[in-house]
Amino acid sequence: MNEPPVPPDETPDLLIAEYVLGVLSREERERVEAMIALDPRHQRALVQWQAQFAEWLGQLPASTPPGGTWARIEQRLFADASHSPSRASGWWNNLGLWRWTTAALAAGLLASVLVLQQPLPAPTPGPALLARLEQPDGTTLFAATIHTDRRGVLFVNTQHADWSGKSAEAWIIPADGKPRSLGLLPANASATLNVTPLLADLLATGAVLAVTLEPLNGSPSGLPTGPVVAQGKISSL
Amino acid sequence: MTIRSNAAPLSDAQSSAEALNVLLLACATGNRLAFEAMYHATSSRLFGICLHYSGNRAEAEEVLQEVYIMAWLKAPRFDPQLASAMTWLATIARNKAIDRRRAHRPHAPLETIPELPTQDDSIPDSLEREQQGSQLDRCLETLEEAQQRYIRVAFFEGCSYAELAERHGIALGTMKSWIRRGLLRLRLCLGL
Repeated sequence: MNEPPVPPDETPDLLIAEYVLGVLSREERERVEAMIALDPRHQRALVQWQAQFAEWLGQLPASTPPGGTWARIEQRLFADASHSPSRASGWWNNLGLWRWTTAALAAGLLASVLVLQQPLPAPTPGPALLARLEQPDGTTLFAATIHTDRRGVLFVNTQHADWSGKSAEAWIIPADGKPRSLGLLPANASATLNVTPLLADLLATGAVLAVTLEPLNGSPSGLPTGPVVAQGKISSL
Repeated sequence: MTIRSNAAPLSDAQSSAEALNVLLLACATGNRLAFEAMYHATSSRLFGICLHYSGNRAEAEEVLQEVYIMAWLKAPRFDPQLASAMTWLATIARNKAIDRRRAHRPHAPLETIPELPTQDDSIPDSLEREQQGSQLDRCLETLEEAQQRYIRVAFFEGCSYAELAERHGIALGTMKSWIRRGLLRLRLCLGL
């Protein structure tokens, strides 16, 4: 067989492409890593190739890892810590919260009317905020991150959920205990809910994000009526 | 009052990518809540990658643990200007899984290699796919058939030149030549 000549293998750009493709031997890989570490141009080339091939990685089917995996990762990294902060519970897990919330609404009504009539300052960009919304059994249902300008909340769903016949509605519950709707979440998809300027300032450390099941198209009263499927406290990054 | 959905599905991929960047940057500051949120948001995709390259659930789970441990430890080196968090994590997962297979089973029989996804397969929520379209596939189509084929095979099998040549019964020099020429053409087409 008449073989075409092999292109020279010492071109840095080619070596980086071969490295990302994964065809090099361990020794060659180590040599390329040393070369890349010394030159920011090579580092840029590396991440550009990785970004291109990441598209192919996105074609591989996702698969839920075994249930104990997260606990084993935590154990291996944080074995010294006696308590995982993520397991801490607080007043927001209290089942009485929602009854108290409803009672607090009437008392707070007049105050809120006064607040609404204040001129609204533009929300100031703050630190990145996020929350982990967990089901009553402790399973995380959403990871929520709040845009730095407070004008949107991203809900990343982490579990398959079946809400057939219901709508999942997201709420912000600030320190006054009154839930305000952030809008409806699509089933089994990440979504960004846009936040009005009025609500933006309520997205603060210590406030609670919650998701309830409501009639299709959302709570008719503007207040949560259905069961809380997940909730979590907002914390600063 | 009826509350209407104000979800903005078109920006989901972008905002998810940004949220993941936020989570990974938070990991760099030692935020364990962010780390857990990131795990929940990404572990299915990363486990899919580990499973593909390991071909075995027990090995894949071991690799997945190592991926998140490394992500936590190396998070301070993540630069969102250079890469998205998902690409960064997915690359770690693929490299870890390939390294482990080569170290533990250097002569894995051919039948343990998982099925290659066909080009028709698509994961609708793949971030990179939505952001970059199929630039890589478009460029790949400009290559000669053998170049296209073995670049894809090399990527999805995670094999070295020597393994590829042996598995597919092709002379090592020929295999290297096809892939190198293909990569050089790809580089021009992609503008890298």
